Amino acid sequence: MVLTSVFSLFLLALVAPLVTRVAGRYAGWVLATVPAGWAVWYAGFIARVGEGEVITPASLVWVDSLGVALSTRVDGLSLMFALLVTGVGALVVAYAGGYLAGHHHLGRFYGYLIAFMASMLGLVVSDNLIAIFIFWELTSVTSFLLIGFGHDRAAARTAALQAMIVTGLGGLALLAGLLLMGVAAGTYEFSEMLEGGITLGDHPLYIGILVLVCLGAFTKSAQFPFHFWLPGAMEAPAPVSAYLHSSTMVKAGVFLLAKFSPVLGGTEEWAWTLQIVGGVTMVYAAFLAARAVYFKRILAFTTVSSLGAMVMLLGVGGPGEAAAMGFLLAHAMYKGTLFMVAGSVEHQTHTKNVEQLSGLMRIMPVTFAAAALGAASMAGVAPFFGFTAKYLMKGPIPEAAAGSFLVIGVMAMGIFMTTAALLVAYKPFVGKPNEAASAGSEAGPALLLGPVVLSVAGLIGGLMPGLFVQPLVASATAAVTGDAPEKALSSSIGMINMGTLLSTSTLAIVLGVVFYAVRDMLRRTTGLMDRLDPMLSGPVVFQRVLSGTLWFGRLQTRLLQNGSLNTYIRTTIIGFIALVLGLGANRLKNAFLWQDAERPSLLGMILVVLLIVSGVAATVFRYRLAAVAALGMAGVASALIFVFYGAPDVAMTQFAIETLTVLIFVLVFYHLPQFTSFTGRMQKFSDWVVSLAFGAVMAGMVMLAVQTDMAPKISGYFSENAVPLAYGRNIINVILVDFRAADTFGEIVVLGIAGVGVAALLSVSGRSQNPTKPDGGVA
Amino acid sequence: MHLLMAITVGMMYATGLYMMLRRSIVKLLIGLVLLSHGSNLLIFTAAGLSEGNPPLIRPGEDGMVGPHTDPLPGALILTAIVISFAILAFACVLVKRGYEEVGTDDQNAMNTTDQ
Amino acid sequence: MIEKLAIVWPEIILFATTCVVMLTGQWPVCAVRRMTPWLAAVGLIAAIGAAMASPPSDGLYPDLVPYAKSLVGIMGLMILPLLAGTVDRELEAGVARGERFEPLRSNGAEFYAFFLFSLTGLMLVASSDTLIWLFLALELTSLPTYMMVTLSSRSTRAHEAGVKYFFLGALGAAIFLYGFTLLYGATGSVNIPTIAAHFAEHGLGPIGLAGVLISLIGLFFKIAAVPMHFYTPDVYQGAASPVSAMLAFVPKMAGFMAIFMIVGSAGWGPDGTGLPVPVEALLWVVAAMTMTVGNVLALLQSSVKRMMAYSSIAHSGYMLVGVIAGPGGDGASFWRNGLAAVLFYLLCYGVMNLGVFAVLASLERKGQEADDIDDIRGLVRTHPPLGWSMVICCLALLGFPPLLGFIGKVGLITSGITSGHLALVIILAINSAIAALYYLRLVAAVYLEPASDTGFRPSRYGSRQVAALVSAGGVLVLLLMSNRLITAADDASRYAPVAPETAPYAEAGANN
Repeated sequence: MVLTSVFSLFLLALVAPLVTRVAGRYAGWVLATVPAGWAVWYAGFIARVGEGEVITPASLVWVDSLGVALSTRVDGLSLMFALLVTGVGALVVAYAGGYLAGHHHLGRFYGYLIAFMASMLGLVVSDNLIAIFIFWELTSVTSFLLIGFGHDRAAARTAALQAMIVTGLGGLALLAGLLLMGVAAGTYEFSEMLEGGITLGDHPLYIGILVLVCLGAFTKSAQFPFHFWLPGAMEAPAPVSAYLHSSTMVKAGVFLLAKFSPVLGGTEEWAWTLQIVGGVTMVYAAFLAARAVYFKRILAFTTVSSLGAMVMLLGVGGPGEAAAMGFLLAHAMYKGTLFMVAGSVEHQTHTKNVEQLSGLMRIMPVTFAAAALGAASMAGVAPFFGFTAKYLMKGPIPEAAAGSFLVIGVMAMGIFMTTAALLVAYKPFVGKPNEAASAGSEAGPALLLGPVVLSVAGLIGGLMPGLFVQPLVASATAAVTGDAPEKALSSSIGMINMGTLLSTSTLAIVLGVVFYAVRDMLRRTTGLMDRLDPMLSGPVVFQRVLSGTLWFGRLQTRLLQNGSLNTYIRTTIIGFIALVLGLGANRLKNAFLWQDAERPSLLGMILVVLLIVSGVAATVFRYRLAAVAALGMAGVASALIFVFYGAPDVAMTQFAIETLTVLIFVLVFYHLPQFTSFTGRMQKFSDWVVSLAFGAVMAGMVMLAVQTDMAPKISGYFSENAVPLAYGRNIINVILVDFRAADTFGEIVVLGIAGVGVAALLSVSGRSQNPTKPDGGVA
Repeated sequence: MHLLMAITVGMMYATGLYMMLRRSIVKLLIGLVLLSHGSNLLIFTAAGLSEGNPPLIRPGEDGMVGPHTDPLPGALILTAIVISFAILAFACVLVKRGYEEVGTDDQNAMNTTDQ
Repeated sequence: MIEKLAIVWPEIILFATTCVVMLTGQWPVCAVRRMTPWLAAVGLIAAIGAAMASPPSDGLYPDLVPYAKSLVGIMGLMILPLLAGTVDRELEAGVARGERFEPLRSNGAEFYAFFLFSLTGLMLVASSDTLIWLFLALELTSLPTYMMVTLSSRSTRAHEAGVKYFFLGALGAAIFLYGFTLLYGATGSVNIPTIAAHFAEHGLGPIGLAGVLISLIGLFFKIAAVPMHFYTPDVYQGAASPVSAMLAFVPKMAGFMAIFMIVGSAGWGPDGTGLPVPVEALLWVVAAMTMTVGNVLALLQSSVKRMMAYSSIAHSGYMLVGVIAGPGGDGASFWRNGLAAVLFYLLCYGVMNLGVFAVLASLERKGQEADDIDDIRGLVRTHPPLGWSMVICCLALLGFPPLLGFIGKVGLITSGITSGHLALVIILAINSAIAALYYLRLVAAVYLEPASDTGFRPSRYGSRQVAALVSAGGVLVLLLMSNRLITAADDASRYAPVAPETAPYAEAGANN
């Protein structure tokens, strides 16, 4: 049934364009019912999972031999995410109906959005590491489609590609990490790792796994220095930002770290990596949020900051995990609200800059109410859920390894978050309506439902935590820590001093308000950040690396891949010599120390010298026919060597072929120009050096070969069986026509192919329109 | 003698390669022939040289009597000779056609596909 | 002799088909000429049937034959519709106008015959158990491809490509022939299992080592690995797309089969990690360089065919990782079996890559095929079936989960990890990332960017579009069958070196 929920959504994505055509403007509402239904279904598990039960339906085996199966497992963590994916998903689908009403590709948009929903749901309920990765990458590609939805705009295309490249690179690292994890644990099934009590902290591959998995998680969750893609992705339509970039996709990294912490966590390396990366991201992004002016950009930076906080809390461990889970749930609600509010405001007023709006409160009162509730939660004002989350957070941090640094960090984040909350929920709404604001009007029901439901849920979550927050957070924490749900929360609550918390919260809020008041000055004095941030973050580094790579590639192309056959042959041979010498130099040196015991006979020496001289002559003669004659001489010399060493048959063939070769050469050369010398003296010299080096390597190898005693003296078989089996007395003939007749047949086929090839080429020549160029004549 | 043969094989490969490094495309053909001479001699040498009787069985006997040269390399070389001849024949036509198409003997002019 | 024939039935069938095709291809009656590709298809199907029923061979990999030959047959069937209209265009157009058919001016018969010859050679590579056969089979595979490149187009480029391909190929062949000779010199045998047994008993020794290394370097030409890769971009771009599609698969498959045999004769040792150090070092360095050079240079290209050529280089680098990992010890699972991963990846690569070339071949402007990335902008909107085929194949090549290339890559990576080559696996992962950049560029051009009217229209040879759709469909269908295919690849890669004492004598084994 769990898999059915995933696949039913994929199916829905496929039929979404059709539904849109049929249902028209009600399509959003119609389509939203399916994820809403699944949300209700998943909500039914809250009680069971809250008691510590884990739902593990039967799995669907796929590539058994690789250990890949579509197996599922719903524990507290998965359940919380599944509820977010389907619940917020349903609201967003309805919202998109209002936001993109009348868009000519609305059906396609629904399709992408629901496909993303299905992938995300698959990701959070999967148990198999490979299945997790598959769904992980599917979320990347569907988000690529969603960000690039307005792909007639270049900015949207760039942003989509950037997001895809960053998360794609992270995805590859994750794949390597997951495969290493599977190999280290001996299984890809996560539940088997848990049941087997496998922790990889001591495994030799641990550091590799940790680095790779973290790379995957950090890129997806936009941690410093990979944070740049998320603000860029705000090119996407508002429903996408509300859904992907606040409540679901960007949390996948956090999800993964949380899920894996029983297997990978609990080590020094884990704690330090997550605390530092998360902590830096948290402060840095919150600061950027406080000085941004565009609605969605502010929200994007606060999202990055919150994700940093969650990563940091997971690194703190112990009760930090409970805080992370609580914060995650709270954040999904208020940030979803605020993104939808931002979308509504943009949609109604066509203005993106918060500084250019004022007085919207009177024009869009319901939207304002939702925004206010969400922003209050974000700023951590009591009694909102955001406050509860903060409350959970303050306990464990001072105990952490990087405690004092993190306490200051959390404080700074609180201040900037307040500023950001004021920027999005106060600045545009209060005061007298200006021109831009007056142009707008209150949003319709589709645009209001989402923000209202989510913001009210945030309020209820804070006021009545027992209703759904506590069981969800407790069971999610239990899944991360492995404790029983009821124990998971209580340990963190006991550590907090209420007085300190209230006073620090109040201080943060007050300072946040102060920063809000002087925000213009803040922006001006820190103007350097506008130039610094891109340099610190990915795009520039990425560009540098890329252009370096391209430079190297171009250099390589110009030097080696220049289209000249000479260069190719030369480089190939130099590579060959380098590889052979590099790998076998110490073994080859013996070759040249060897003394030939056997004295060469005079005739042999004469023949060899003749062969070498004619070979060299063929290379230096400047007249074609002289070169061909030298070549013929070389052929005759080698044939004579065959005769001398007892292979008359070979020699006969060699004579015959040599004659034919010379004839062909003379005929072909008649149609070809005289030899021309294209190269200078230096080039010739260096070519000789390369050639002689090649020759020396080859000769060295032959010397090695002949001084090695050959093991079983060969060919006795042929000599013994030539007469009894084949009734032949010329052993070479017998070999050719009987013992190895198949080879001979193969030769004939090759010869035949060459013949057909010659004929085919000549027939092309026959119909060539170009007149043959006059040749140089025969020398 | 082995040493001399090894040097000869090396020289055949060296001269063959040198010709294949020429820009004049006709010279490539000569390089090809020299390389194939090198390969043939290589097979011959690698199997071990021995002066002596060809591997022929005299009438009335059932097998070889006394020392004789190894027949298998001979068979191998025959294969190599035939194959290299086939390749050479094709190469000649290819080069001739190439010259007609490109209109020059210089193979550096054959870089239409270059970026 | 007779019982050995049972192994080469597929080759015999293909050879017979080739003879028939040579005749029908230049038959004066147009209808008979049109039958030629269909006859070739029938021959291929029969060969696949024969291959599947093939008994185990005597080679190092007794069960390789059915998998490899079926794979060759299936890829042949998929490439076949793409070849339509590659040669004899003007001639057939003239005949349609009522001119007389002149067999001497036609190349159709030879073209299809070369295609089948090349596949026959490729099948023979899989069943060869001696060095002589291996050499002949490799020549038989590549000689027709040189000719096909030259014949494939009337442009100067095709001719230049043919010249470059031929001479570098001859050089490569000279090098591996040299290596084979050294192997023979070191062991006194041309029978591959005997050579393996000899090495297992006596060790490689300097000359055996040189033989293995040099043979491998020569064979790198076939798989387009560094330093023998230079021809690839020029040749792929110069040849007509259908022929480039074939070049990306046929020689690569032949090369990997031959590499299996040569590396297999040196042996991975009983536990599967004992590849002789210099051999492992050679494969390692070449794998790393091949991936990197291929991917980095692919980034620079604006010609899709050149890009695919470099990517073909890179994919060979990936597959070498599997060769290094080897077949694993006894009872190793697929996780450990690098050779099975290579065999499976060859299939994946063949299909995915064919799709891209088929899309290019399906688009024409005045008889000229699409090549530049600008030619395919917005293809999803202008020609949705072709556009989506391109998207699917590019994503699969990139290794996007859960597509075919992903499953293949998981196999290669796990075998790399389990055999302890972590550094190489990381290089592979980084390279996949670089590869993502250019594949995504293609996807973005086809899918995201607005359509521009470049004048390219679907080719009037509809079968080319069929080939594109079949490849894209194949990427999806094979995905569902991947478990069975992986099991098959696993069986096919069973490495069974014979014990030294029972090794067939060079002579006896040579007697096939």
